[in-house]
Amino acid sequence: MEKAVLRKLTLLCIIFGVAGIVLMGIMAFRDGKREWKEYQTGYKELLLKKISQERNPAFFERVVNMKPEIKQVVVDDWSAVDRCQSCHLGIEDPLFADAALPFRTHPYPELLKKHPVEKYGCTICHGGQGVSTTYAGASHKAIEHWPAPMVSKALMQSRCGICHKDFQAIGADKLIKGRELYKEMHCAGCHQIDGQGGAVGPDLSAFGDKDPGSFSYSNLEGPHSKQNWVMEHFKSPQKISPGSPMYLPAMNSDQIEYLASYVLSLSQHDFPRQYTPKVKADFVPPRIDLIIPEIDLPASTDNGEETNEGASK
Amino acid sequence: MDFENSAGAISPSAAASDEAVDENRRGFVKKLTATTLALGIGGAVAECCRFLKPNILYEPSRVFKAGELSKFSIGSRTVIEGHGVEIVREKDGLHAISLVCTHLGCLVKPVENDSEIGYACPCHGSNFTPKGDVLGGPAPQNLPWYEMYMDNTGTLVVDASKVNKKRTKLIV
Repeated sequence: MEKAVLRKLTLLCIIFGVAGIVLMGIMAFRDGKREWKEYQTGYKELLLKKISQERNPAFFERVVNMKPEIKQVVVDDWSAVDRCQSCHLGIEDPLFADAALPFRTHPYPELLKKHPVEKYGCTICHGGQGVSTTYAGASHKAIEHWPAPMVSKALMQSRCGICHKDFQAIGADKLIKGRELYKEMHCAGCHQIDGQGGAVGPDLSAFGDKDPGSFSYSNLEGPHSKQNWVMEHFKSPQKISPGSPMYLPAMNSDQIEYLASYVLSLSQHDFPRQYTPKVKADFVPPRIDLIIPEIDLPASTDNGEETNEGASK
Repeated sequence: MDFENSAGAISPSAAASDEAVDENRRGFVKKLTATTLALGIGGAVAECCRFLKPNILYEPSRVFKAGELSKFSIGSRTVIEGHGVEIVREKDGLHAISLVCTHLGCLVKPVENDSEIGYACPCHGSNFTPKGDVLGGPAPQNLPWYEMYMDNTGTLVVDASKVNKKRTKLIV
């Protein structure tokens, strides 16, 4: 009997011992094999083909001795830790203008010149999860439990507006159109921005800063992100937020984009002076809650009638 | 266990040779156990040591861009704000010198138009030559030179994590 117990124990010891060693081996293998390491070796090979030893020996030698390492930009002022450059290695390098992703140069080098990666990082404009070092984890697409995925091309200007309040000065056409729409549709009748407007709906002054986790995604089709929530909400407010008294005239997809860009750019985040864009001395933020006498309201068009009905409900 | 089972199946006439076979097996099992132990303990210790060295820390990179080469004219000394480094460009090349006093870490002040003193520390009066050697004061060491290179876009990059011990100048 005792022998049988001993045998069983020995067998268990052997099984667990082997399993432990196998697991440790897997761990060591997985720890050494990372997505970004492969990209860095690929980048090194590409770069060595593009540069010559004669022209810049110090740089060439450095590239030859380059070892895979996480590259990051730390911006204490808005506590960003962006490791995007661990894979997007050629983002500032004009030699990589035609290279494949993720090495390709930034499509707008003039924008990057004004916002050097070293000083700004990436996520302040693009969103996404900066500390992550995998494609999926960085939230290139919407992922679970990270409701601030990378901003789509269509809504890119919403991020410009977070710092730049003078939309004309930076030529942000979508933001200008979005603000016009906001004014035209009299959103300020119910919503307040910076003290202008009514108090029926939620205050939108800091809508861009609002925690994406505080939105209800239960009725939302598609990715659970704040950007998607806003777009879908503008298509049909009652579908996304049942019982909401919000009324919106039908908009085409471009108009939805403009308005979504505008409301997502509303931020009260204060940046340190070195990051605050210079504003012209005569810049006055345009009013958004213009009061129009009732006679001037365009009552004859279809849109106008709908607005009146909506208001009377 | 399997060994014993198989041993039991052998007929009694083969019992004499069974002893020797058993010895071999014991030796093999001992070696296997020792290897497993060594692998297990060694691996665990190695991974623990590996754990102590993080992949990266939450701190700004010590490799930074100082600016385009054209910004630095020959004979100029340019302090790179926020990094405690001065880029000196002379006729025979460029070098990046640390401005952090080796005494207690104050930022030393570059002294202009002085052939002997290049840097003076405002805190405790240490003086350094234009090459960074200590002339006097409490500073125990010379100001280190950092490695520097120019990338393919013509931008000077300083690597403050590596000290240029030979004090070689970057020739451009």
